Amino acid sequence: MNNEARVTQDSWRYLFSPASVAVIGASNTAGSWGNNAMKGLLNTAGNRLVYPVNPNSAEVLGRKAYRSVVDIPDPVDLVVIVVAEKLVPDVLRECVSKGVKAAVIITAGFGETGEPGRKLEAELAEIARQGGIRFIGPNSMGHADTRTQLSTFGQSGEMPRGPVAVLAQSGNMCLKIVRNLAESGVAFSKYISTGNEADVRMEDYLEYLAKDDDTKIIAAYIEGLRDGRRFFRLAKEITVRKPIVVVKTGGTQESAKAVMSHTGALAGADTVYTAAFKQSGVIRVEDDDELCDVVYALLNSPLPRSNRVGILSIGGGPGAMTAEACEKEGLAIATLEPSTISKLDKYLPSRWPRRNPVDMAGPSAAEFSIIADLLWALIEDKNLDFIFLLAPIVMDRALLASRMGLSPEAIKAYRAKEEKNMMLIGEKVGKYEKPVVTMWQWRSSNSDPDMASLLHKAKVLVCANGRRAARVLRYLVWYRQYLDATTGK
Amino acid sequence: MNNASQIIDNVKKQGRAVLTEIEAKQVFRGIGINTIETRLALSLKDAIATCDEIGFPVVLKIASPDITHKSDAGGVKVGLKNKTEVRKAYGEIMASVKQKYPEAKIEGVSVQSMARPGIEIIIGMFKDAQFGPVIMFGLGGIFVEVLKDVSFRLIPIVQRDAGEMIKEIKGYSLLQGYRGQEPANIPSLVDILLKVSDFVERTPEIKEIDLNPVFAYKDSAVAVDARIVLEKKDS
Repeated sequence: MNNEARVTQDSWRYLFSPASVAVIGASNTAGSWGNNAMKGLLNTAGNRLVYPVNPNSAEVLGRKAYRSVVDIPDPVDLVVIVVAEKLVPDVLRECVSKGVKAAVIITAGFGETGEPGRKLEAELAEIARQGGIRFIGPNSMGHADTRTQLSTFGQSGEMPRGPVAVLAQSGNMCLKIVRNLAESGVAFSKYISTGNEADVRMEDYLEYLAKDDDTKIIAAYIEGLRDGRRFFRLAKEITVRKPIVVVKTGGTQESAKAVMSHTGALAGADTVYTAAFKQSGVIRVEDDDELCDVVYALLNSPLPRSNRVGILSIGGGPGAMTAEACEKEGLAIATLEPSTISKLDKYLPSRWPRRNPVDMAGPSAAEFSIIADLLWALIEDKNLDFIFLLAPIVMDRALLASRMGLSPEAIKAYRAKEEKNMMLIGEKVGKYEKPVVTMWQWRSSNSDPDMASLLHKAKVLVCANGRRAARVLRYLVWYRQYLDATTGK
Repeated sequence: MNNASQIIDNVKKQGRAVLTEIEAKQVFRGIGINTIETRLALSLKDAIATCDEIGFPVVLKIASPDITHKSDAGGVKVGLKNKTEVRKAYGEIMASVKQKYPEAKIEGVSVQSMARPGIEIIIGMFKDAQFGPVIMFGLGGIFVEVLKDVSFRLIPIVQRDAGEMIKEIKGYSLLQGYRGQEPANIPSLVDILLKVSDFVERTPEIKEIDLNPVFAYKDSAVAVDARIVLEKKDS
């Protein structure tokens, strides 16, 4: 098996930093792929030249349209192809004679549809191989690079830059993951809908992102790998420096068939994929919600040293339910140090059970201010590696106004105090290397932007419920153990 | 080690892909894995003489390069306690095999000691289409066959991988002994896994391995049956 890079640095440059792009099949029809791609490219063009190609229009979106790519007077680095599948081979041949170096083939109807489509796809691969073109797809929904502000997805507006790269063998999943993460404030380096991978493959993108300084975390949606062994070797080398988080689909009977008809690829024995991921430090999650939870956590929280959880709960019920979720995920409900119990005794009524989970025994809203103090005590407990917080560490506006009867000025003052607390929590999380996760206030923090921002300042992770929080920590604990074992700690 | 490679080369030279049980056990012995002493007897007289040497109880199995599912062919008799039982068993094996596989080339029977019962383990290897050589671990019998309680790793594995894949199976607590059954010696199992991994890494012509069962005792482990399949040569 060839260990050399299959895709050269030059090719990557043409794919991600082209000086000029042509959209073959550009269109004025609003909402069409050809219109979408043009709009997106024009939107963030900067100095980049964008040419529409369409033999049936004189102009597209105000730009002069060419009958064919060969008619464009200047060099063209990258093409985006959206014409019907039967036309793609000839279009690709024209690109070869024009001297185009890279392409994104959006057009569908190839290997994923069966044998005739597979033949057509093989033809594309051969034309490109002989003609020196590297391409993404076919059946790709596009790719994006935030450093060069390039997007063939049809983005609008400037794309914020960040450390997460997303690779997806489904265009729809790619966009869903990107949108979910963006909603939590995560920004990206690159994201790519890899399509049928008739030329550039998942393993090639992985190899590239390994060396990409803009990328610190790699998230992937995978249906099948063509060269699993190469992926395995690359992953082993990468995961000690950059986490790779994967959703792998196609492990059950019908889903495997669905995968086959989607990408034309074999899903493969799921148990072997699990083994490969485990052995190479790849964090494999169950679905894209977990993917987003874990990516967010990796960005915003330290890795816990081990699996011991301390639960701080406003009452017995939530604490018990969360404890159950934790135990199901192999997290240990640790025994508190006697010194911690003494500290907690100072704040809590004598009826509190004096054990972990810490049941605050139903404080009134007026007593919520002690929550921060209880939290310090738990963070400082040597028997705990992370804290699950099921109590309102920040209050939402509506509650402050109504139940606490605070005026707008008083609310402002309250928020200032909360902000101080949050900064202190953030410091302690960093100093003790102990994640703090809340799930109690997920719905409120989604609707009150103040709360979301305060929790973010505190480096507190927000999860939808105890089960998801326990799953995230289970993955983080596993990853930490893997790193410790492989780096010989 | 050289012995193991020689045996494989011989099999290849003969244009065969499947090693006999005796050949396979010799290969494993050659790479340092304990196997139950198994000898080929070319005749009933030979078989009786072997029993005299290795002692009772014994297991007789048909020895034929053409028969892989020996039990199905009626070619396996276990727990033979004396010469009379051995004689009877030999006759039954030959009759059954002749009836079910009249074309098969019969070399004789293999005679092996009946192993003391231990915890039944399966260790195997196969090639996955995407990932290449994969090693497998599981508890024998219904645990693998019905419950599919197995763990995998890609070859080559390191010590940590071997330890982890053993702990991963759902039936792991059974390895710690139950209902009077002595526990399994985990380091011996780790050792077997590492040796199989090592050997496969050095010998790319191996397509499949089946050590089934391995009996695990509190101080050791021994392979009771062994199977090696080679890649078919292109004609």
